Amino acid sequence: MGGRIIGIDAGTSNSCLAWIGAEAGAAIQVLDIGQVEAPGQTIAFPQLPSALYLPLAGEPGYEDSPDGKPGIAGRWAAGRGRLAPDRLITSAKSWLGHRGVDRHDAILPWDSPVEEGRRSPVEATAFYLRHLRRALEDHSGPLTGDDVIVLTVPASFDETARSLTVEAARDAGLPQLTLMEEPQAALYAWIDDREDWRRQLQAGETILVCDTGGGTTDFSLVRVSDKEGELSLERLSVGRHLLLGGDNMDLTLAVHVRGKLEEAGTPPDHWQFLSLIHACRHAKETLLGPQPPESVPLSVTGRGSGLFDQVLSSELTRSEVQEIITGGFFPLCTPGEDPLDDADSALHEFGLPYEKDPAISRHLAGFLRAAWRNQCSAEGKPVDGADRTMLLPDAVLFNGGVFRAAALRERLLNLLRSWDCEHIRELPGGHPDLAVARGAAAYGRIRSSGHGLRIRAGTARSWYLGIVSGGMAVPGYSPPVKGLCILPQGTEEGSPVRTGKDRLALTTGRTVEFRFFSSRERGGDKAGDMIGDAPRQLEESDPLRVTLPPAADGQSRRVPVMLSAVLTETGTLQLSMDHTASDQKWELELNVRRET
Amino acid sequence: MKSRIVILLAGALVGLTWFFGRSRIPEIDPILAENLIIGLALLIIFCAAIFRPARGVPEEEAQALQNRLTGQEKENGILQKTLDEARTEVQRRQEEGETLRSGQEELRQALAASQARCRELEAAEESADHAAGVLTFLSALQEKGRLVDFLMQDISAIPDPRVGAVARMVHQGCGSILKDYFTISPVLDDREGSRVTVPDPVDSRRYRLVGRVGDDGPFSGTLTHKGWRTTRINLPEQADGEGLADLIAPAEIEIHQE
Repeated sequence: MGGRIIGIDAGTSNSCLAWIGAEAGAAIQVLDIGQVEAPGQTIAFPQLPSALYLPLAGEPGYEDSPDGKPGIAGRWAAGRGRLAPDRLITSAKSWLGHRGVDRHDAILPWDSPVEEGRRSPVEATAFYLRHLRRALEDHSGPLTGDDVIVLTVPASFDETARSLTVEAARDAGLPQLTLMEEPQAALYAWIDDREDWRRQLQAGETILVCDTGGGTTDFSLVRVSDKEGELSLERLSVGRHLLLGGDNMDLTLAVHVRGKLEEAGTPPDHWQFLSLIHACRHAKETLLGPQPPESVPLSVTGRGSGLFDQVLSSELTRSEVQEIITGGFFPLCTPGEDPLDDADSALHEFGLPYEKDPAISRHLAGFLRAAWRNQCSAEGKPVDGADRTMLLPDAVLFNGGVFRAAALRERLLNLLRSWDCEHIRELPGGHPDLAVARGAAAYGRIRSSGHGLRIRAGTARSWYLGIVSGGMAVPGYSPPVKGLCILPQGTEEGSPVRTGKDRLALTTGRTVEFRFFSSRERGGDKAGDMIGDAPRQLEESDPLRVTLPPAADGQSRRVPVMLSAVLTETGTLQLSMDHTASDQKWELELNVRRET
Repeated sequence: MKSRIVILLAGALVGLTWFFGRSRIPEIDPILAENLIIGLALLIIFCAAIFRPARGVPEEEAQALQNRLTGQEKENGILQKTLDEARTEVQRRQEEGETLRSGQEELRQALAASQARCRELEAAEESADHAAGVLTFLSALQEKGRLVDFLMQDISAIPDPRVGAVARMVHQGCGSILKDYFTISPVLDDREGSRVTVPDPVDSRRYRLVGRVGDDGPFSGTLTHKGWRTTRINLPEQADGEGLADLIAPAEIEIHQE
C-alpha cells in the first residue's frame, strides 16, 4: 500500500496544493488551506497568498509562528501587509531565483527598516511550504515516508535555484520530493482532465505552454511525437524567467488612471492609489472578459470613515485597456524584434531584476527564435535565418491568472498567426489557477504507478564547467576559459554522464573556484565537447568555491581526474571527479550552502 | 467413665480367671479358686474405687471453671460495652441519616437550580456565539466593503453621483466577501414573471405565497422573486476567547517615519 501523492505549486503570488489519497482509485483533490482571515479567525481557501507579514506584538503569528520568528502567511497577511509594506515579504520566489543576492541572507522584506522577523529567500520559501504541509497534515494526517511529493518550480529556474528550493522544502519538513517544471505540470493537468487528449494532438506538433501569473511569465515548448504507435511528449525548450505578469498590468492601469485624476485636479493620495490598483484589477478583468461593457467606473476612497469626503471617481474604458494592456503587454510585433533594453518603463524597482520591456510579445519572439537556434544545433544543422526564423508552435496551452481574460488569449493567438502560424489553436484549459498543483499530483501518480504518459524532459539547458586552458603565460592576459560540456541538454534525472576527458588537472588541498556555464541554445553539444571562450558563448551561473581534501599520496596538489556528472533524482547537479591513478574520488553537489 | 472401664476390666479378669481356673488348673480346688477369684475381683473393684484419681480433679476443674467464669464475665462486660457503643452508634447514625436525608433534599434542590442556571448560561453562550458570528461577518463587510462606514453616514444631503460612486466600492468589496463565504443561487431557477407551480404541500419557509391566496393547493402563480439560498457556506472559524465581543473595526493610526 502506497502513501498519498501530493502536488505543490509554490507560486510567486499564490500557492496551492493538490493531493491524491492513498486508497485505490482516489481522485485528485485540491486542498482548502486554512489561513488567518482576521485576528482570531481562520478560514480555508484553495489558494494561499504567498505573502509573509511580520506581525507586531499581539497580532496573529507574533508568538505562534512555526519557525520561531514572528511571521504569518495568507489572506490576512497580504491585506495587513499592504497597509504596512515595510513589514511584508512578497515575491520570495523571485528572490530565490535572483543571482545578485545571497539567498541565505535575511534580506527580506527588501529595503525595509524592520529588524524582527527578517528572513532569507530560502526561509521565506520554507515558511510557505511549511504552512502548506501543516494544512495537509491537519486535513489528512502526518506525512509518512510513503507519501510522494512533487514540487513545481519555474522551468527557467537554474540548478542553483532548484537546489535552494529543495533545501527550503527540507527545512519545511518535506524531505523526499521530486521537482518538476510548472509549464509541464500545466500540461499534465490538461492531459489528466481529458480522456481524449490523444485525439486532440497529432504526432510532430509543437505545443507552446504560456504561463503568465501575477508576477512572472514562463514559456516552454513541448513536442508531440509518435513512439511505436503511441503518442509521447518531449520538452524542447524553456524560456528565461520573466519578472513580468498581471501585477505589472494592474499597476500600469492604476498609473494611467492616476494621471487622469491628476489632470482633473484630484490627485489620489498613497492609500487611494493602493485602492486604485485593486479597483483597476477588477476593471481589467471585466473589460477583458466575455461581453465587456464600453467602460467601467472606478471609485476609490481614503482610509477615513467618512467615505464621501475622500471619494475619487474615474473610469477605465475598453479602448484604454486595450491600448494599455493589449497594446503595451501584447503588441503585434515582428518575429525579428528583441525586447527593448532601455524602455522607459514605470515598472522599475531596485532589487528584483524586473523586465525593462513589458511587451510579452517581444519576449515570446526572442524565446521562439532561441528555440529555433537550439533545434538547429540539436539536429546539427547550420542556423538558418537566425535573426528572424522561429520555432513555431501548433497549439497553445494557457496557464496563469492573466489568461483568464479571453481577450488576452485571443490576442496572443493572433500574434502567433501574424508570425505564420495560421492554424494555431488553443488547447482549452480548465483551472488556470490550480492547474499546476493538479498537474504535479497527476505526474506524481504516473511516477509512482509507472502507468501513464511521461513528458521526456531532462535538463532544459546544457551545462558546462569552466576549464582554464593550458598554454604560455602572456603578461596582461588571463588564460582563456573554455567550457567543458558536462550535461548535454535533455539529460534525464538519475542518468550519469561521462565526459571522456581523462586528462584534467584538479587542484586539491586549497580553496578553488569552479565556474559553471549553461546554454539554452546549444542542443547539439555532447558530453565532453569543449566550447572556446565560455564567458562569451555561454551564460555564466553561480561559481562554487570549495576546498577539496588533498590527494591521498599527500604531495601532489594537481591530480589527474576523470570527470562525470549526474543529475540527481531531485534535480540537482552532482559532479564526480575520479582520480585516474587511484580509487580516490571527489564529489561536488551544486549545493549553494557550501558557497556561503 | 474411667471407673466403668476399671469395673469392666475387673469383671473380665474375674471371668477369665474363673474360666482358666475351671478348665486348665485341675490341681487347684475349684471352690477355692472361685472364691479367690471373686475376692480378687472385689479387691480390684475396691482398689479401683479407692484409687480413682477423680478425687483431686474437681478442685482443678472448679478452679478452671472459676477462671473461665471470670473470663466470661470479663468478656460479657466488654460485649456489653460494645453493645452500648453500638447502640450509641446506631443512634448517631440514625441522627446522621436524618441530617443527610435533609441535606440530600437540599442538594437535589440546588442541583435543579444549577441545572436551570446552566441552561440559562448555555443559551447566553449560544447567543454570544451567535453575536460573535454576526460581528465577524459585519467586520469582514466593513474591512473589505466599508459597509459600516457607508451605513453610519447620513446620505440625505449627498448628491446621487457621489452616493453612486461610493456604492460601487461597497458593492465590489461586500460582493467579494459574499462570494468568498457563500455560494448563492436562486431558490427557483425560473425567470421572474413566469408562471410557476409550487410543490404541494407548500414548504412555507421556501415559498411565500402572496396576493389572493386561497385555502387549498396546489398553488400556481407568477414568480415575483426567485429567492436566494446558499449551496455552500465557508465562514471563518472563531478561535475561543480570541475576539473582542464589541469590535467591528479597529481604529487606524498611520505612523510616519521620523
